[in-house]
Amino acid sequence: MRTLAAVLLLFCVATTAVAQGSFAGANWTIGFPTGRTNDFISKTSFGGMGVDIKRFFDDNATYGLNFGWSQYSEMVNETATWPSGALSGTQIRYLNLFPISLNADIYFGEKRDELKTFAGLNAGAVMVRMRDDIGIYSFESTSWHFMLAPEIGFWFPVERGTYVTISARYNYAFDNGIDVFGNDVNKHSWVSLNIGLGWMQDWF
Amino acid sequence: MVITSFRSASRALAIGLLLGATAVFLSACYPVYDLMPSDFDIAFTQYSTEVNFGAYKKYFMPDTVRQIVAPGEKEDPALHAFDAQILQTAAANLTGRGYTRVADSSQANFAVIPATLKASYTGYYMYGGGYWGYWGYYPYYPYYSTYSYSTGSVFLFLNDFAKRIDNKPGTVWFGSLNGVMNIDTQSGARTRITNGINQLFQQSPYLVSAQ
Repeated sequence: MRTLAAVLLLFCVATTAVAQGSFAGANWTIGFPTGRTNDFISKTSFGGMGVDIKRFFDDNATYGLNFGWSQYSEMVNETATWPSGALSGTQIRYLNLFPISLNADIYFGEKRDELKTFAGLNAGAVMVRMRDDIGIYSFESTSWHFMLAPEIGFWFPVERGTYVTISARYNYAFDNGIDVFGNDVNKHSWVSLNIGLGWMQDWF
Repeated sequence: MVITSFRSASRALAIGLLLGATAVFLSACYPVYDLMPSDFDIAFTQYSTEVNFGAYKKYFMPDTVRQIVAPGEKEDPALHAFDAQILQTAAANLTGRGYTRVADSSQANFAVIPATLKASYTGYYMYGGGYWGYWGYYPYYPYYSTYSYSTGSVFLFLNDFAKRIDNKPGTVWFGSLNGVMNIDTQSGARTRITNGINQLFQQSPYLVSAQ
């Protein structure tokens, strides 16, 4: 709940304060788990969001911050085995991801171009919260990971200062801690599609 | 960061509040799964990797199912309604895997001991305490409510007469079913017990006689 309140506050702060050369945007995030994350939950997430705050330090380059939250959930019915035993039952799995990262982007084309394409890199941390409900039992794990996320996307203007933003990001969280099953290989990766709105004051 | 015009500020604030409301909405959007009583059942097996289960041929199983109760507590007679079914299903699986049941334990390689256990849980939760109204915060005495549920477990112990621990046959395979009781009909519970015992053997492919 505290994490949600922090995300909510960041939304309101970011969207109500825009200065010249500064960009603030919020987006809806669709997440596609990959790698070991896909082994835990394979279902696409449509419940995610992100906030971007950027500032131009050059005609074609920005630095900034990115915050996000995605939730995944899936019901599976499979047997877990290990060398001396097995466990079967209906499992309901949950995964919550809270990435926080610094961001640097490069914009292509001319400053006056309407459609602005960019490529960039996010680097920071992500909190991974896993939960597995089986029978009447529930297992949870929380871990922090260093994260890198290259990104490409574009902005399309809808009116002066307001843009539709679309980007694709590959997120990789490096191995740290143990996962909900007690495995000490605990790394995650997912592809996110971010669709949102952004606004900027008197730059283009 | 500063707001440079009233129009952009009010537009930005409206979008910010809309997206903030979306955050709250999405946080409540955890999917709801319509779970059946059988969705709470789990089947757990554990075995000794040093044992050659193919070398076994004959087994002994008693005609009754032991109910595990705490010292001083009485058995639940309702739980014994499933005894015959437990014995029958376990015997059918063992026979299907090439093991022969014998009445004399001295002629058997191993024994299969079935047992049951009922556990009850009680908890409480509190809600309320106050709400925000027009003139401020209105506290009220919080409400408390209790909940309770019972779980039933079926155990199968496979004890090798030749491997003794503390002068008793050692357990070389253990199977356990666990599920929530009191949320299903008796015929539903019977089906779940049968399916559960079958699952215990299904996830134990090594448990087959080579004789």
